[in-house]
Amino acid sequence: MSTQVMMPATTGSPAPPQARGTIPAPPRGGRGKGSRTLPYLLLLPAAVLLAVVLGYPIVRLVGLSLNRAKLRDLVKGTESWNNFANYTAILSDATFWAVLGRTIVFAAACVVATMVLGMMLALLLAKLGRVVRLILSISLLMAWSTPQVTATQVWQWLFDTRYGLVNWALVRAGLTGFDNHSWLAAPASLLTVAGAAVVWGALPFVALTLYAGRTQIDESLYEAAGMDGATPWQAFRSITVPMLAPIITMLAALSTIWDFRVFTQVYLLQQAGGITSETNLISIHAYRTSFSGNDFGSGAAISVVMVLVLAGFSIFYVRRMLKEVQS
Amino acid sequence: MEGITLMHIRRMMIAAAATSSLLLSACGGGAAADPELATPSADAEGALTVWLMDGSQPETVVEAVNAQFKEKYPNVDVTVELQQWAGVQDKLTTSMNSSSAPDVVEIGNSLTAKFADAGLLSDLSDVSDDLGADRWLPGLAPSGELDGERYGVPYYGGVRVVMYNKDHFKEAGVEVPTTLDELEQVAAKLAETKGDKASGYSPFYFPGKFWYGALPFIWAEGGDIAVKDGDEWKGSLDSTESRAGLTRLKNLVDTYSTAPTDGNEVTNWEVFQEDNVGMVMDSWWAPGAVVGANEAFADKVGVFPLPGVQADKTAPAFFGGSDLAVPEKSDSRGLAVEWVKILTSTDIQTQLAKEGGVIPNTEAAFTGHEGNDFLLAADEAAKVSAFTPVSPMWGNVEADSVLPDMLVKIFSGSSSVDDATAEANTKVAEILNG
Repeated sequence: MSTQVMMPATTGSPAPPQARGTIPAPPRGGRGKGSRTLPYLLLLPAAVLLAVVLGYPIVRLVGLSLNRAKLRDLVKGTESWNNFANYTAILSDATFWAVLGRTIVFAAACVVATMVLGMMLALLLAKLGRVVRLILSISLLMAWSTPQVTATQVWQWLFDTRYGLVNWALVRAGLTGFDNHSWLAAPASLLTVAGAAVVWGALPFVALTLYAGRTQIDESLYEAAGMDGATPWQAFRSITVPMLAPIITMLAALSTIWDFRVFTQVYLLQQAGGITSETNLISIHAYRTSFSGNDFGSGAAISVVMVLVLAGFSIFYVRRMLKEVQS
Repeated sequence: MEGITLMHIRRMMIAAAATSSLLLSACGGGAAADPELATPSADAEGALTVWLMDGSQPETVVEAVNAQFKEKYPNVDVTVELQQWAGVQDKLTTSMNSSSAPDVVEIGNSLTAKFADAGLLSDLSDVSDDLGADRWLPGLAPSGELDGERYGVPYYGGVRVVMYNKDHFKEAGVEVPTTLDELEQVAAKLAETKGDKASGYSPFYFPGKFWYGALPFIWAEGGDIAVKDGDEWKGSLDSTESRAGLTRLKNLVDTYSTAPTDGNEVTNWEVFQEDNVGMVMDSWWAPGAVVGANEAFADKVGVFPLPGVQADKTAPAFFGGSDLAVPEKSDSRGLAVEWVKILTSTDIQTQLAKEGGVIPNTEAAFTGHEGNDFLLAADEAAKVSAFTPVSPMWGNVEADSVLPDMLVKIFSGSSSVDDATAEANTKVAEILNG
């Protein structure tokens, strides 16, 4: 969906001014009151829908985070203001900071891997013949449509200690040290397997979007660069990257949001192996605090912090994107 | 102490009520403090919604209960809805807190205390005698109790048993062990005859996260997870006894188990069928499942309860299972109690034991297992049992994976038994004391 929105801005140099010109300027002054309120009336249904679907949960979340809201309080209706106790409790909890730090490192690694591999796939798609490209595109779409739970199970079995394909292949290749090797035992190793599953799931969207952007770049630019003696790497850096910059920023922003919230992959792998307390990400921490710990107030406070961190990232990305579109 | 006094007062009041016709008429004849829990008259009308877990009982049992109930209350419609275990905790929390709460719910028994503490469950103390409290298995009864009040009625239970390969035992010339020391000797003999870990044979297979399997080792030595001292929970994983149990298990795992030290137990029954495992602990239903899935392997499957330190007492088994409870917000609690009464009666429990293959809530119903050696071994194991600390906060200990994490650290060697137990002990006490 976002692809569609972004496309006009990235169709090379001629597009933006033209696109801007085609939008009719809003009528100004001289008209009756009715026409001035009409746009707002037309916005109203969407605004109401957003307020209900997005606004209410956020208000409720913030409200919960500021109250004592154990399960019993929810049942008995005894939620009560507790003077930011939830926030002071989580912020003074070493576990929370460990989880937050782990999540940031995990998300950053996933975003970088997704963007690099996504770009490589996009460039590959651009170079491939039609038939192979079609096959690759379909494969990507199929990977994209695989539910996270199913995909994670497959990854878990690939890396299974006893029956895993990875260990089997490594042992066959002569690396006998991997016989019965547990990929989930070490926290970093578990998160790497989870990260691989996350990146695998995110690649199709990133690769196809970048590929769509790449097809819009005028080939004559590359021809000209080639004539000037530019290497492919130079052409990539001087043409592809700047032209795709707004798309790259948008995809990086989306990936950051997605990867910061990763839940399923890690949660499922924790059931299969590893040490849970050393592999929790912030979303899992919030979930466990709320639903297993019966402390919905603290769980909500963790979620609010999560939202704030993401909002910080988003502002950075949006400002960057606006700058790129303008230049 | 306070509870006993209160109960005395209640009994005295009942006695007073019985002798005074004035009081009797005022109370409407009900002895229960909660009149809604009193037995409704036979012409009661209404609808009853019951939530049971999918797989807990065969349909025939539900039908039999409904038939008996219909006889008693012909004008009440009962709807039994089967729930899936996955995600049921959140679903129960929400639905029991709504105005359309179900009237009877089945709850995993380590969660009863949590729901009771949240105020979601009816206090059934007044009707517990009527529900047959005196015949419940002593191992199942504590889970439904919180601060001396009864909230959950034991429905059925399950334990872990040891499956062994009869052929391998014969080859090694060993018998079923009757003490934990003997179990180690049997494992050593199996390793001698069938091969050691390096050869891929596992005399005693034990994946690291299997905490239900590890608890009996702790309990057998006299250790525990935590004990309540007044109002405070005191962790006892770092006690000499607990550490002795875990050290024994670690030696077994180190020497005889090929299982992943951070793996879980879900594939135990499948690994067992590969024919290179001598002994493995698993759920009581697993031996039946092996036989059902693998006819060629059936003759090799033997079962025994995990032995204790001394031959006269098996290791206390973790007695998991389900409780039945009546949500506080149900609008037909009297009828709900009647329905529960039928489901937990001895004749229905016998049918459940026979057709469902679970451990019933009373020893009298063990007759349902006659002729099934696997289930008889499970009954044997269930006779000596123990339970996790009954606290509303226990769910957090499970959710934080405190025990599996501790075990994984011990078995993988990343922490010593002393360090890992000390760490887990602090966490458990911290969580339980809120």
